[in-house]
This record gives sequence, structure tokens and C-alpha cells, in this order.
Amino acid sequence: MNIVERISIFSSGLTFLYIQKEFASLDEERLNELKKIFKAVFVAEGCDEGWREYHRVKMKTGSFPDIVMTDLEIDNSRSIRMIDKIYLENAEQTFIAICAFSERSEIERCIDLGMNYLMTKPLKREQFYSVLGRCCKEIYHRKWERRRREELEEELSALRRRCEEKEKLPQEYRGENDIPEKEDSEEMKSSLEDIAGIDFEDGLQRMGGDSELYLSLLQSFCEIYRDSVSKMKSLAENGGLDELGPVAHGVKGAAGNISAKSIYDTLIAIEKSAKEKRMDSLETLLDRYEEQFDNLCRSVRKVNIGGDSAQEAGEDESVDMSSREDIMALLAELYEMARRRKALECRNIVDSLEKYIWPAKMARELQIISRAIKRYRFKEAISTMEALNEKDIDNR
Amino acid sequence: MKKILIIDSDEISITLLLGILGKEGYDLSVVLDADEVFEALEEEIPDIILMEIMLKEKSGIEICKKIKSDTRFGAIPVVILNSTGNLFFEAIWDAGADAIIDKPITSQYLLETIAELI
Repeated sequence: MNIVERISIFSSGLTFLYIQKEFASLDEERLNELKKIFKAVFVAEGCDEGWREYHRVKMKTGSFPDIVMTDLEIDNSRSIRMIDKIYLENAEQTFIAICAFSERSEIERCIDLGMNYLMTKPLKREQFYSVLGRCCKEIYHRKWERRRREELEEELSALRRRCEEKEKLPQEYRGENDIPEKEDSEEMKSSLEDIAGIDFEDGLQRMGGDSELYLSLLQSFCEIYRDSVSKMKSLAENGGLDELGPVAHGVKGAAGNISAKSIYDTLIAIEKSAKEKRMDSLETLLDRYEEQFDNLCRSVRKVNIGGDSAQEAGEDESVDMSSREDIMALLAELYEMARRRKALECRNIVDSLEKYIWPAKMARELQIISRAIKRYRFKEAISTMEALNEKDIDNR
Repeated sequence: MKKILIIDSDEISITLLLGILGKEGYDLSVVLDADEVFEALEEEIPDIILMEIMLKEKSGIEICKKIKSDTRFGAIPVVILNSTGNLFFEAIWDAGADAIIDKPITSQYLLETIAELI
């Protein structure tokens, strides 16, 4: 079975609209091939005709085309406006963009537009069908899942109705008080389960079942992004909406990693509002994000298993350290590991360092080093260690 | 001990990777800034590179292309950590990447992919 035949399995029920430039990127032969694998193929030339054809497809087939393939450089980039218009009308539209990809700015432009797939010119046959195959497969599965979900919902509703009639509704079908049985009563797991705004099961699975790692990531998230609320609010107030989008995008990625679903969803909406420059919704969304972030971090602080570092908390675990030499020896080891960017080893040395009472003369630098290592900023840690070493030599 | 070079600007993502891979006994190095990638490679040749597609200043795709076209490092398997959906699927393969892992990362898939490549 060749690649075109393989795609046909997923594409035969789909419709395809190709919006081309005056000089088409697809030749006649390729178009004929496409006509064989799709239920229907439509072609339009230029943005205005493309926009009209998009609606004609709906009239002819009863729905918008499953896939729209368009060149990004039609009519002096009017294609971008056309894509925006289509998204406004049908936010779920699948697009395949054709462009001359090269730099990060191109990536950002495509992301801003919300494009699903990208092909670069010149279009090579194998790559063309590889991207098209992936696209068709995804739409096919999405449609199948939607159909299956609808069927299941129907079955569930029917079951509910039957159970209600007989007043024998089993709890799992009631849609209320769906509290799963706790299989694991381990203290940390149950504490993590109580954290507001995270999908605990999803997050724990992502970490390979390591609840300690999960807690540490949650703590890091709260620490690293503690200024994100004020930063985004300040950008919004000062008209920096173009910068706000990427900031929200960055935090969103991190929120996804810790399965903070509600924060993740809010950040998607913030990113979208910033892109569309909608100040009214942005203010509300930023307030919502602030509340969700605060709730999450408050819950994380409550768990606090293992506690803060001895340096911060001033606990008795600290080794009474009068010998500056031991600290310097650890720093020498840390310097070597930081130079080689060995994150785990550096982290362990910093943990050991934090068990000591730091001499006042070096406390500030040690704090900078510790923070830099925890945030993987090895160069900053190295330069601070070098400065500390100089200072130590001068003091001798 | 197999060496892995992690190139990512997202600290949460790095912490997650270290947590998952550290337990498996890999020797892990981290680069936060795209400008330091070649410096790190010259200091130590890893057995595999895990690289985020959207680094702070540069595209991971461009860096992947440079690594793959460099005779000293071209044979190192590169796994792209992809946070852009399907958008750059073709461009990532074009750049010579050996595998793509979609973010958010899941431990099982990550470990399986690495095991296949080294």
C-alpha cells in the first residue's frame, strides 16, 4: 500500500479546499491525486475568491471544508486577514499553511494565526503526503471520537432515565459526588490531592507516579512565576499587549507540565484576548488568573512536606559551621559541576551548603548562587562564585 | 552512564525532565540559553540531545539544523520537545530531528523514546 492509499483510509470522507496564488504551488498532477483521495476537492484563486468558495463549500456539502490549504503569501499577505476571518466564523477550522519557513518570527506568526500544519516551499511529494496524512488522520480520529462521545452520552442519558424511573440510579451514573475511592493513603499523595486547581491523577501520571517530584514542580512553579500576575497586569495597563501574549504562552506551558488545568485554560484565554487586543475581557481574565494562582500556591504552601530550606527557616538541622574552609570546599566542587552544567549534582551540593550556617560576609553571595543553581543559571552562579573567591582571597 | 544534554528555556520543564531521567541514572547536563549550546557540545559530547522547539531567542529547529550539519555533532540523536502542536511537524523532520515528543511531557513516552535512540 503506497502513501496515497494509506491516506485514503482517513481522507475518503473529508473535503478539501485549496486556496492558491496566481501561480499555484500545486501542479495539475498533484491536484488530480488529491481529487482521488478526498470526498471532494475545491480550488479557489486569491483571497476574495477563497473566502467566497469557503462559504460555497458549506452550501454545497452542508459543512465547511475539513481542510483548508492556503499559501500565506497571497495578495500581499491579505491571506492572513482571510485566515482570521475564517477563524472568527469557524474556530475549529483545520488549516495547512504553505510558506517559506525560515526564522523564529515565521514560527511566531503561524502560532499567532493559530495554524495547525505548515508546509515549506518547494513542496516535496513525500513530505507533502506525510503532513497531509497526519492531518487527515487527526481529523478522522477527532470526528470518530466526537461521534463516539455523542453515542456514549446518549447511552448514558438513556441509562440515567431508566435508573431514575426505577429510583435505582447507581452512584457512578448520577453525575454527582463522584469521589473515587482512595487506594493510596500515603500522606503526601493525599495532601497533593487537596491542592486547588490541579488535575492530580493526570499530573502524577506525567511524573511517572513520583509525588515528591510533583510537589517540587508545584513549588518551583509558584516560585518562578510569582511575579507573572503583576508583570502581565502591568503590560496590559501600559499597552504592551504584544508582549503579554508570549508571557502568557510561557506560563501556560509550565502550567501544562504540572497539570494545573484551570490556570492553563485561563492563560489560553488571556493569550487570545491579548492577541485580539480585547481589554475588557483581559482585565477579568487577569483577575481570574491571579485568584487561581494564589489559590494554587496557598495550597502548595500548606502541603510543605520536607519544609523550607534550613537557611530560610533557621531550623536546628543546620550544622554549626565555624569553618569557612568547608563551605569553600563545597563551592569548589559546585564550581566544577556548574561549569559542566550538571544540574542534579549542583542541586545536591547546594542542598548540602544550605545545611550550614553561612558566615555573614558571604551570605549574600551564597544566596545568589543557591538561587541561580536552582534556576539552572549556571553562568550567573559561576560568576558569583568567582567574585566570592576573589573576595575571600582579599580578606585573607 | 549515558549522557543527555537538555536544552530548554522553561525551568519547570527542565525540573520535570531531571526528575524523570535522574531516577534512571542518566548523566544530565542542562543548557538554558540557545547561545550556549555549541559551547556545551564542545565541552562534552552527549549520547542524546533533548531540545525544546521554542527557545528564548532562537528556534530549536534552526539549532537542530546546525547540529545536524556539523560533522562533529551530526551523529548525535536529537529529540525535539514540541510545544507547537502539529504546526512544525515537517520543519522538525526537515531539520534532521530523530524524534518528536509533544509537551506536556509524559514520563513513559519520554523514557521509551530515549531508550530507542541510544
